[in-house]
Amino acid sequence: MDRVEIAATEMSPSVRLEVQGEMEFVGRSMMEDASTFYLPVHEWLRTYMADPSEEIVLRFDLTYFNSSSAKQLLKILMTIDDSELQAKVVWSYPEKNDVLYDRGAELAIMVDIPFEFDPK
Amino acid sequence: MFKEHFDEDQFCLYYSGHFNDFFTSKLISIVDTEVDKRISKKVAFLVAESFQNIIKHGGDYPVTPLSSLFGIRSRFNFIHIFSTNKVDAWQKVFLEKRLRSINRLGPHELKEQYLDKLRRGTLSEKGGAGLGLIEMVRRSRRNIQWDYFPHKEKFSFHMQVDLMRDRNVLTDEKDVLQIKENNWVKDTMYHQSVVFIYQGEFNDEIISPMLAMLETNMEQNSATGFTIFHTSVEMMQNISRHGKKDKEGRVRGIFVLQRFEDHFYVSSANYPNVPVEEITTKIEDTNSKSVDQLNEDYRTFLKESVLEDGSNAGVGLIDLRRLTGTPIDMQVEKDEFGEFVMLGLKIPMKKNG
Repeated sequence: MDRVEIAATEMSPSVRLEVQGEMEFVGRSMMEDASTFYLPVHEWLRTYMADPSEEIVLRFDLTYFNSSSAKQLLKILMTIDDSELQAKVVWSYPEKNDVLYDRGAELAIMVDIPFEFDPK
Repeated sequence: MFKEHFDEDQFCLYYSGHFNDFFTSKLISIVDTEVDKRISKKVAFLVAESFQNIIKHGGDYPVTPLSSLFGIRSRFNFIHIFSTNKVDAWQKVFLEKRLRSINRLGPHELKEQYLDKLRRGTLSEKGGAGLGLIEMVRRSRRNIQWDYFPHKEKFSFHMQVDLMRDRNVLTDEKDVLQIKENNWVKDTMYHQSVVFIYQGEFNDEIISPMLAMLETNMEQNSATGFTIFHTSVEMMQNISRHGKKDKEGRVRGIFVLQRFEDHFYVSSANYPNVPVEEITTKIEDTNSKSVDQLNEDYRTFLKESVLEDGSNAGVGLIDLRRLTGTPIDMQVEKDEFGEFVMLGLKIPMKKNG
């Protein structure tokens, strides 16, 4: 299984997927069709789940994401939630941005994965 | 109001607000997707020159009748580039003299002036013009239109460059937009507190640079800034996602941003590819609910959408309603092309941003 690294663009985040059990998303996620962008992420996750490490850590450091991306982020979380993987989420957000904190808190309510909030 | 005025435009964009060099490339990338590759370099040059004039004087807020404005319109066989600046009385006299002088020069004389200035960095007898204005006339091959309006002790000086898209196409001079039409747009924008208008195609390639321009007018990381940005993203992508395609397979619409003292107003309009009754029902339902109900709906629909293929989450309007706390406005107009749906949302400015 390969490590995946995708560079950020104006509309999409940087993505880093490590076989040791780490998924990182940094930047902005605002593509109109987020499903196409996140397809390789879902595929990687499926492969990872066949031979997982002890724990997977999901790091989100997003300054913005649109509704199309929200669906994809939740899909990633629900896939992990529905499995027996040990997981935790580190949700970073700009300290003054309550909305981004709230977005993370809302995702935390929707899945049964521990969230750690990290204001920057 | 703007729809009727821009009905014959292939695309148009107007902006009044903070101006900086960063915009030039963003504006050019928007225009690049809309114009023929044969003239894109000329258009880019003319946009950059007009923009540089504005940047030198600086944009300002709050918007006044003297505020700088930039506009570009593609209409029939022409691209019209419009810019306005605040000038003193002596600058107005100087500019008028320069423009009269340049507009009198023929192509050969213009070239002479240009080369002379390049060679010596000075002006020849016949001229009196700066290099930028000379180049604008040379490249557009048409006189610059200009006008001015007094306000207190200053003037709003307006200029318009008209570039033919295809010189091989027979063109009626009546198709040339007169500057007074753009004067009306500026005046209307001022009175309606409009800071941004775009009409044309909507897709990620065009949306991205537009959002970059709008962002500079929003306080980064503030709740209000985030809300305006998010509303703009969702409304623009709503057009590209749910808009009816035209004959060329493109989805077109209008986006307008207004800035008032205590709130912003974001609106968009297009011909949707879903029945209007469906949109009306959805909005009425969304508007009737409390924030708690909307939060619950958002989570339910988002979870359900995960089980469905496709990019659409189906929660965009719910999210905007719950984030702003204000009802979504909707208006429908019927014309020969179908039903034109306009949506609008008020975004109050929060005390902490």
